[in-house]
Amino acid sequence: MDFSKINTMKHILILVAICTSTLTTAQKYYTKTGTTEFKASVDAFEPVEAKNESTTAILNVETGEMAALLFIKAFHFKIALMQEHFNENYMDSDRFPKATFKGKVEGFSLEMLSNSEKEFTLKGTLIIRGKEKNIETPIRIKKIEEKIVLISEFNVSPQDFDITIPSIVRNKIAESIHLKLCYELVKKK
Amino acid sequence: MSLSKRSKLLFIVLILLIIGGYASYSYIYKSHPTIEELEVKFSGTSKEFLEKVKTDTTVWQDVIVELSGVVTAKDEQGIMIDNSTYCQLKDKTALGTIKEGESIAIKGRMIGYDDLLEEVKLDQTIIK
Repeated sequence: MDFSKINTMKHILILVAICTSTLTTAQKYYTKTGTTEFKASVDAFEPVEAKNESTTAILNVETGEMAALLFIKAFHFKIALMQEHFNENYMDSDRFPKATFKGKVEGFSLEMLSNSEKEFTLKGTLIIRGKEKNIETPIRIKKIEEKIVLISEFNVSPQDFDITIPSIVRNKIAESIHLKLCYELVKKK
Repeated sequence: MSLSKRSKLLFIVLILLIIGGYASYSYIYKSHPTIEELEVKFSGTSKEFLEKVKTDTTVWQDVIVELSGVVTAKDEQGIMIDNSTYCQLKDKTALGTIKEGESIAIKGRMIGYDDLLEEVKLDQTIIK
């Protein structure tokens, strides 16, 4: 083998190394159909709860950074009238169609995950109706084959986002709203 | 048979109560409008629709659209058309018959422009 051949091989190896390293640094997991639920029910009244099954969530598995986005109008209530009121009177979803989250899973690393749940802390900013709120909540993460499953639950209050509840229905809607997220992420190609 | 004035009145009140009760019940518990019966606001190719959405995202929310294009990807919940429009299917069993690369026409509800993934997002999609 002559010297030039070794040199070209070297170059190829370096190229391959560069390509794979850029691939791994940009490694993200995502979903377009994550489930976000909320419950604001009070006992003895019609349950006030809805489900959004079209939440987008992206997790950068190198850094633990996470971003999520959902459309308010994609929340589905059992009672159609309640859904109408939710969009028109409370969320003003024509003006504020989205809710977003941007944050980070503290101490995240892909190697730490297994098929049993592991608890991390999720920190970040939740934006609803154009109002920001800092969130810090435990998040349970597991990896099942090629999927990363994120589950978290936390509470917010309507006042955090300037949502006013008319006094006539005040006792039918809970003071704190319970949110539950369940996102099954797959590798982004 | 003749009824007294009082029982006639009672009878009328009862009827009114039943009608009123039924009307308010059906108002409060009205069903969700189904995708099939809603009015279509846009009809055309997914590329034309993307252009429209990009010019003004606020208009194109929660509207029913009919789109056509080529299936470029598929997952457990829906399909991707022309690498730009994600359609979450109403009936997931329909996924079995859809192949990547085939031309398709769909009807669905536009829920918004997803700027994280830079794509149009539809739900309750039905295959036409």
